[in-house]
Amino acid sequence: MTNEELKTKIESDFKDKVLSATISAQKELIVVVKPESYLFVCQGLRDKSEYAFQHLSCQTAVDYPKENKITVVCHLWSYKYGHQITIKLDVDRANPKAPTLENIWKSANWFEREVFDLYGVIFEGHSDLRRIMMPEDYTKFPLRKDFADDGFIIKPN
Amino acid sequence: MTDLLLSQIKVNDESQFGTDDYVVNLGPQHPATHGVLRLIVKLDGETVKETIPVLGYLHRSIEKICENRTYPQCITYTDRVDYVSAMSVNLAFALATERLMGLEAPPRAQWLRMIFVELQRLASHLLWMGAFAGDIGALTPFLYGLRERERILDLFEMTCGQRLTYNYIRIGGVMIDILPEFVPKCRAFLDYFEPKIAEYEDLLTYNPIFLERTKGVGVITPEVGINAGVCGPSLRGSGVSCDVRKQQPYLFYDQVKFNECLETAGDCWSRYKVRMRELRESVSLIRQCLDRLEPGPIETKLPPVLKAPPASEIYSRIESSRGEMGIYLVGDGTVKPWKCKYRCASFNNTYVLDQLTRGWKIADIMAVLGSLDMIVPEVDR
Repeated sequence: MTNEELKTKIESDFKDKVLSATISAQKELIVVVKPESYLFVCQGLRDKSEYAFQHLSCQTAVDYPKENKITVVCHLWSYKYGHQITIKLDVDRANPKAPTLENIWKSANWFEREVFDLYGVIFEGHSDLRRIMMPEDYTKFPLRKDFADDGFIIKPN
Repeated sequence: MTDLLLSQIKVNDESQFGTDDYVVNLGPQHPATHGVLRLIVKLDGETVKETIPVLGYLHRSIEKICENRTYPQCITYTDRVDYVSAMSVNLAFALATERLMGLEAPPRAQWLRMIFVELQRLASHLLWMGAFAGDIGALTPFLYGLRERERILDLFEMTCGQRLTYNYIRIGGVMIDILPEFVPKCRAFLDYFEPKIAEYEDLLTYNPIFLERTKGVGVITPEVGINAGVCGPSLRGSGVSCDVRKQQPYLFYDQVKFNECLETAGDCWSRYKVRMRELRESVSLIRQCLDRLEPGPIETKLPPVLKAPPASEIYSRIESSRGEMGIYLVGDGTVKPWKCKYRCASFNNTYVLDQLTRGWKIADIMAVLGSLDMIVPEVDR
């Protein structure tokens, strides 16, 4: 399936669950999902044999302070068909909460711990949501754009 | 707001261990943990009940630093993400940036990249072989592995002046062209190296002690492996075809002939055999690349200021020595990446350690950890 076919198929299969499906200038299929159907879409993409996205290749987040949102980004890969897809979920920056993908892909466990550690997104239902990189008593979320710390000085250039 | 979030953090307190558990703390300074990785191991006698990896001792916030550097400046930091296989990370970042900006390196640069990345794979696998054998008590292969690795590093030094952090593969091409004597020297090395693989295999592959320590130990089933995000040679040991060079060819990997090395058992021994076979495949790959190398430019002409298009993003993957290496870049129309994420194979391969070691003896942790070929700077970044 090409990206265009995949896009039309996703749009018809998850009609009212997807906010937008676009093909970027870099030829990647990007799907923004509604928060309440995030788990449903991910489960469907993994389990339906015509998608077979068995591999959660990467999960991370991007901070957009101007739009007041943090976007959780998942990159899925299908070993069976060789498809790649990007799933995005926008969460509120002041109260970032997202459902966990741990029950769909085990690998999400550490990815989500990392996102929680560095962005402060709380994954509801996660079995072991602790800091992973930073010390346990650390009080900041370093990858947020408004992060400032004495030990980390950004030189203007 | 921060207080609200902090209240959610579970502190790793002692109460999670029952009174009957015997807890051993491995690391962070331990020769067999390949860096500063700490493992908290819950034991029942000598049997492992749970392994809890504690990460972060080598966290250098490379992703945050990259967000505050221009794209060419970031290349220097990619060397430090995985310093045993620095060329692969150089390549991953350069490819991701080129795809983001719609650039392409000239053919000679692409062949050179392939030669150096495959040489790097040899060097990395050799170090891995030595360290893995050392972890389970065979100290001799380390000397053999480093002996040949030294000659590869000499080839690197001859070309770019560095032996560990090369900064050689740049955006739009490579740093500098190879010297005229590089090709004969590289061929001489390959001719010298190929018979040596049989020597390593004589030392290890069917050695009864080695078999006893690795065969049937730490089995990854394909389902568990895929679901837990294991990748690279560690997953190919379970018979899953997951080589990015085959699945999503980059550079000229679709123009050369090589086999994807697969084993089916999924134990430490299979992962070892996959990597030994990959040594042979890499030798044949380098020979093909040297044959196809033609004179030409080594760098595309870049704009004076490299800027990513606004609201652009790319997730670009390559097969590094350790497995799938992904770079996620978000461009915002400026000279700096808005977001730069390194998806490293070791991160996921370390995650699966707990599942693999439960029920095995404490000494088997070393065998399993070694066979996964994890590198701590890549886990912590």
